[in-house]
Order: sequence, then C-alpha cells, then structure tokens
Amino acid sequence: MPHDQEYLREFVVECREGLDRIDNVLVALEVNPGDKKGLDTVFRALHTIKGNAGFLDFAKLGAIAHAGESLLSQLCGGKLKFNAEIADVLLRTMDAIRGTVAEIEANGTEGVSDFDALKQELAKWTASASDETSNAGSQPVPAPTPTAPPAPANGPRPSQSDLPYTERTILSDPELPLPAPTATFTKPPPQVVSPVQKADVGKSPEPPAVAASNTESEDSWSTSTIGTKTTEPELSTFIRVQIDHLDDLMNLVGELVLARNRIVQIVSSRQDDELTEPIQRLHRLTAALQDGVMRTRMQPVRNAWRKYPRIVRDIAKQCGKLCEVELQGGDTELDKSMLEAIAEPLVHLVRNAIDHGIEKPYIRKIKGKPETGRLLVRAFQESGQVHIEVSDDGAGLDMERIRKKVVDAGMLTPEKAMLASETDLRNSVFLPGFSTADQVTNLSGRGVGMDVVKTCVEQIGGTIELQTRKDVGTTIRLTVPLTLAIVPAIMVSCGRQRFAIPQINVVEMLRLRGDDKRQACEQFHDTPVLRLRGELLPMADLCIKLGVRSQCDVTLREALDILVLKTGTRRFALLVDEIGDPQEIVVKPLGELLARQTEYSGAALMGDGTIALILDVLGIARSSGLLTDEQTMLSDSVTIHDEVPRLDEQVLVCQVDGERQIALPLADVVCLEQVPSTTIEHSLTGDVMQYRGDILPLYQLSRKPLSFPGELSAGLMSVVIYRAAKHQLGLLVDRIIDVAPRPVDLRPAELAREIDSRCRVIATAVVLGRVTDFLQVS
Amino acid sequence: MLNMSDVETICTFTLDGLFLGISVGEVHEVLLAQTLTPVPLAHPVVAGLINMRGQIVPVVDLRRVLRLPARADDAPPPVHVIVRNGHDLMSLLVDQFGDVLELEARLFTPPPDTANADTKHLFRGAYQLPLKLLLVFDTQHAIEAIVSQAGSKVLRGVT
Repeated sequence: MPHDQEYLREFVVECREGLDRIDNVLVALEVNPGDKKGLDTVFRALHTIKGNAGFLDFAKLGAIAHAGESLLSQLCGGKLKFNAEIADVLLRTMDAIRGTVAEIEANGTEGVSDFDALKQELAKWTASASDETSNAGSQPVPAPTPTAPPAPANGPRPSQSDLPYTERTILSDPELPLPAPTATFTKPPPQVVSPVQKADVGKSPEPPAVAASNTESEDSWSTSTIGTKTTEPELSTFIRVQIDHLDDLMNLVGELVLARNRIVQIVSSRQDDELTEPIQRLHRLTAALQDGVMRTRMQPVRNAWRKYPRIVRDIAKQCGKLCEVELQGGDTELDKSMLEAIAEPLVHLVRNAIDHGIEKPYIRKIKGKPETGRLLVRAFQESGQVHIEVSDDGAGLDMERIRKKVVDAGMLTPEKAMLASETDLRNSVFLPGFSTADQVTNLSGRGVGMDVVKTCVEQIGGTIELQTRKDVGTTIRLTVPLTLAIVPAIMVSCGRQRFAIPQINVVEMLRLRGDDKRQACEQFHDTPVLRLRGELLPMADLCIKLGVRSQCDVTLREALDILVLKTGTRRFALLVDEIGDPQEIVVKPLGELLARQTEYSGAALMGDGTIALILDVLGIARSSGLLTDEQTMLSDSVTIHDEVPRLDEQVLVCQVDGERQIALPLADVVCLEQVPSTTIEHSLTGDVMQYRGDILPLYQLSRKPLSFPGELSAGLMSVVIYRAAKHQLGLLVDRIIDVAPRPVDLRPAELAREIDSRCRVIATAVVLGRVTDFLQVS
Repeated sequence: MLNMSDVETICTFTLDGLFLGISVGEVHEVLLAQTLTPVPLAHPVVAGLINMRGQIVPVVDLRRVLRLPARADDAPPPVHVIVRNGHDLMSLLVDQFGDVLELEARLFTPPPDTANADTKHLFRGAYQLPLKLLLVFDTQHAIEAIVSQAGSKVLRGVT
C-alpha cells in the first residue's frame, strides 16, 4: 500500500527520536534500576512507535514493539525487576526497530526479518514476570512508600534554569525533544522525556514503587505528563522547518545587510538629517533580523551528544571496560552545519578515548585509579569560538609505543624516530595511516582515525589540540568558529585592492616607524625577517607575493604595517601597504574556476558593494615558502601543548623601575597603548589620560619617584589598559616585555603585602628567567 | 543532429572581429560595464570578479580563451554575458552585444576538420549567414575547458 511520503518521513524522524530517548533512559536504568519514571518514559515512547506502526500498517514493526511493550508493562507494574539482562534485550529490541525503520526509510517496506528469536526472548522475560508475581503472591507486598526520597514524578522539579550545568549520562537529557512531534500519528499527547532523576548514582536505588495505582499504564501517563508539564516548553511552540528555507533566509538577510550598509554609506555622505532617524531604525532592524535568522540555525551541542550514553555503554562493554561519561555544557550553541560537520569526528574521539585511553578495570586498580574510567565531554564558548573537549582519565599516549609504530609504519627511520621530540611524536597521531592499536578491532585500529578527524575539523576552519600525560589521561580539544557564514576579519590593503584576513589567524598588528622599523626588519642573508621581542619570524610582502609590485624597498616607506599571523603552531609576518579596520564579513565561495587558488579562501562583499578577496593564511604561507610541506603536515592546524594555555592562565610581563619585572593576569588586560608622555593630564583625583572619549585614571606601577615619565623610551609611555572590577585603569610601566604562561607552581607569596591601597603583590615567581612580582590591582 | 525544420534562437556578440553566438537558453543575462575586482595570481583567462546583485561571479575574458589580442585601452567597456556553470554563474567577457537572431537549422554546419585544434572544441559549429559566419559556442564544453584550463598551474602568474 503506497504511503504518503510526507507521513512516512515524519514517522521515521519521530521513531528515531523516540529510539534515541529510549536508549539513553535504558542505559540510565542499568545504573539506577529503580527509576519508575524512566520505565514509564520508555514504555510511552515505545507505545507511540507501536501505535504509529499500526497506523501505517507496519505489522512486523508493530509486533516487535508490542513484544517489547509487554515486557515493559510488567516492569512498569513492578512485577518484574529491571536488570542488566533485561536492559540488554530491550536495547537489542531498539536496534531491531531502528534497523526496520531504516529499511522503511530506504525502501518503504519493513524488510524480511521477523525478529522471532528476539520476540521469544522478550516473551520469556514477560512470562517470568507472571511467574514471579504468582510466586510472590504469598509474600507481603511492600508497603507504599510515599516518602521515597527522589519521588520525581510528583515532587517539585527544579526549573530548567536551576539545573546545574553539568548533566551526567545517567540522566537523559531533560530538554531533549527539540521539535515537537506533530500530532500526525500520535494518539496520546506527544510524549515528553521524563527526566530521570539527577545524579543519583551514588544513592541506593529507589525502593520499588508499588502499586496499585501504577499498574495501570494509563495512570502513569497522566501523572508524569502533569509532572513534567511545568518545565517542558509548550510543545505546540515548535514547528519543523526545512533547512533549505533557513539557508535561503540566511542568504537573503546577508544581502539585506549589504544593501543596508550601502544605503547607510550613501546617506552618511549626504548629511541629510531627515534621513538619519529612519536609517538608524533600518540599521537596528536589519541587525536584529540577522541575529534572529542566525539563531534559527543554531543548535545546542547536546543534539550531537544525544547518542553518547548508549555509544559509551556499548563500546565500554565490548572492550571489557568500565566507563562513565559526563556531558558538560550541552547548551552551548553552534551553527547546524558546523554541528553536523563535527558530529562524526566527535564520536570517533569518544570511541578512541574508551578503546585506547581508558584502561581495563584490573589495570586501573593496579595503577590505583578507580575501576570505572571517566570520560568528560565538555563544550564552552570563548572569544567567539566554540571549544569542545573530550577528556579521559586513561593511560595517556605512550611515547615509546608511538615511536615504535612510527618506525614500523615507515613514517620515520629508526634514527629519526630516536631523535624525534615528544611533540613530533604526538603530532604523528594525526598523520594518515597512524594507529597504535595492536590489533584491528571493529572499533578502532584501522589507522583511519585522527587524520580524518583533523581534516573534518580543518574543513570548517577549526583547529585541534591534544594534551596528554602518561597515566593521567588525554584531552583533545576542538576549536571551531560559531558559524561559517560570518567571520570577523582584518581588512588590509595592497596596491589599490583590499583583502580580508580572518581574525582567527591574526596574532598581532604592528606599525613600525623610524628606529623601530630599522631594528625590526632585517635580512637573514637574503630572506626578510622580523625581529619581534627576541624571536625571528619569516616575513613576506603581500604585494610582492600577489604580484602587484615586483619589489618594495622598506627603507623608503615612512611606516610599515605588519601583521603577525599564525597557522597551527607556526607564525610569520606579513607586510602590507596598510592595515585597515576590523570588519565582519560574509564569506562567499570563489567557485570552481578559482578553486585551485590556494591563496584565497573566498570572497566577501563589502559595504560599498566592492569585493574583497579573503586571504587563506595557510595557503599564503605555503606558497611563499614560509612553511615546508613537511612542517605543514605536522603543524598545520594542530597545536600541541603540555598544558593548553588559557587566557586566565597567561600573564603579561612588564618592566618597571628600570629593572623590576612584574606580571599581570592577561585576562584582565584590555589593550596595550603607547602614548606620548604629554598625553598625561592632571586632575585633583590624580593623573588621568583621555582615552576613547573617556577619562582614564592612571596608576604608576614604578616605585621610584616619577620625574620624567617614560624617560626610557624617548617621550613615549607604555600604558596597560587594565580592567579592575567594573572600571578601566591605565597602568604606567616602563616597557612591555611579553606574554608568558602563568607558572604552575605559583604559590601565594608568604610576604603578600600591599604596596598601597590599590595594588598588592600576591605572589612572586620566576618568569622568563627573572624574579617577577604578580600584582593584583583593584 | 538538428531537424531541418528547427529554428534556433541565438544571442550574438562580437569579439575582435569575430561574430559569435550562444544559444539563447544558455544565457542567464547580459550586463553592461561592471566594476571588476582583479584576482592576483589567478590564471590569465580569469579577468576578475564582479558583484551581481550580491552574488559574486567570476569573469572569464573570452579574448584570452580564444587567444585573441588584448582589448585596446580606449575600447568601449566590455559586456558580460552571464551563463550558468552548474549551480554557479560565470561571466564571459565580450566586446559588444549584437542582436538576437532566429536561425534555421539548415544553415548550420559543424566545424571544419582543419579548425585550430586548441579552440575547435569550444564551438559547436557555425551558421552560414549572407555576410559572414556566425560561430556558435558550445557553452557547456567551453566552460568545462575553461575551468580545467584555469585550474592548471603551468600558466600561473603569466600576464
């Protein structure tokens, strides 16, 4: 019988959602078998699938769902106790249903399998329940325990916002059902996930809930529906939308933004006051519209994590390991296409972590770790990017083993392998064909692994970092942009043309004049280099690189604009004619005709309707010979750190009093300025400076009397614009030295003392080879 | 081959004295002078990029493709013939746009065997008009040839 395609598609989507939910709850039930609500959830979800299958005349599907439902109704009724074997048979039932659904999606038919064996197994368990009850007839029925501690169904549930950020596996996602299933098939109201109670692992399982009132499944229906209603969003507020529609809208809005920019530009040159107000309004509305449309494409990372509890359970079981997974920050949002792009790589990382990372229980015991391994998947947003980490507390990477594998696989000669640094060895994990697994299992070990993950992440403009310590564990961090469509970029000019450089690649921007210029730009034999705080960076001239000019004499130019760019761990300097403003650009692909132009990653339309090419920093570096292919292979978008430095773990090191070294937390530094000493003005409240339309209070960090401010640098003063509480403060220092990682063993100074009411030394340690005071300024 | 009774509608244009045509169904639209953004280091056939109502369209200079001399500096601004390339658009840069002609298929002849081997595959054939020949572009083949030519690295950087 021909089914309406629309119905079929909805049916498939709805079944899948139901199955994912069931999987997670079943896995949770294994840990916490007494969870009555969890059972109800599974029962209801399965019931819906059965109902829909019946509606669409899928008899086999209906039958297997029915068999599962019968067993569940016994479990719900408390006539049978949930155990691992039951979990197993139920999970296999879900797999059978999933397989059939896939078959239906592909061919519109149910396929050949009848699942007789599975049905018999289900029936056996169901029957055992009846035996149990008849036997149990003589036993005293446990008294109803209304005081059961977690009583989730009726007890007040914390509202969504009160929930801690952390969720443990064992709880199925509380707000999982994103789209409301349409009422097409569902006779009962659309099912909602009953949240299994939070973090209850440690506690003893809930006493078997009894009873009379609950044996009737319809009853439990109403209870939990009421119970969850308060926190679940109104289901009718969701509609399913074709992603194509959103893409179209996104494009239209992109163009609208550009049209608006053009109008704003024209109007601002005309000085027409009458137009100002409506233009501002247009500006605001467009921005809001753009934001809104962008948000429709954003999805919580949780959507990609939905299957993890089940995956972790299955893999751990197959490997004979114990593992619990903790998911943090599932609310972090990411563009749908980005999320799809990293979903598979992430599963691979999770699989790797369990298969390779976490040790077998007995080994863990010997090492003095808890037998159950811990896997932490965590997402968070930082400086306009989304970071996703997969950490395990397993064995870490074994350098000797990698060394051996690298030699065995012929990637390095034994001599080279002996000399290879740990960083190089860890990097080799990302090379194609690398695997440390001794035998190929069906989980991993085929050597198609990390290099594929790396490629996927790179394709969406992300980076991958690996951090590992022997016997402590491994953390892999993916960093991806929020969205592919809009990228913050720095505009640079070269000849008469403008180019955009993605901000993610820009480390710093320099404008060098006079002596600075002569000192910083030098020739290493015939290669131009930039001397930057003691480091030599290879330098390329963009105009020469692009063939706009054949040569450029740096000595003739009054000022040089130089960008320090990074790709992976490599840094290089790029000389441009002029550095312009930062701008948000909408990336458009260059198309087939220019596909092999590795110097560009796309083009963008600017506000005035002109086109700016977007420079591909890696391509520029490679084609300028700044990176050899080998280096590219190893370093390209892979960063390896022993400790991944974070902003709050880095400090800005400055010099004061001509020789003393001090450090300030980098996270509190807003920006660095060099100003002529004449900029400083005086008010009754102290020294101040005009800064971006504000009056910035200044604070002298030097202890020596300030007779000639900034005498060290010829009338120029270095000011650290510093965020102290809610205010900004300008800290005067002699010289800015560098950014350095905060020492790990930093201990509070025993002599922590106040220099004055505003500033105190909180610690002292050696940084960059010198004793350094760590300051706290308020 | 075309049926004798068929009539084909052809957009015509000129290019360094050549009289060329593209089947009207293959022309997306025709644009007059546009600001051209050059793409440094791109293959010489790529003249640059234009902004067509918010869409970025690559421009191919047909003079380069057909190995004709470069356009004179004082020549009138060239015309963009926008054609489809799969899902994308591409502009073919020509000197001047001509009339749209309805031509009887019996006037059509395939290219002679002796035609220049380098550019022969770009044409489907010619219509014999009273005054001169109208060379008809084989648009899809030509685009494929241009794309693969532009992708080759051999000629990189030559201007």
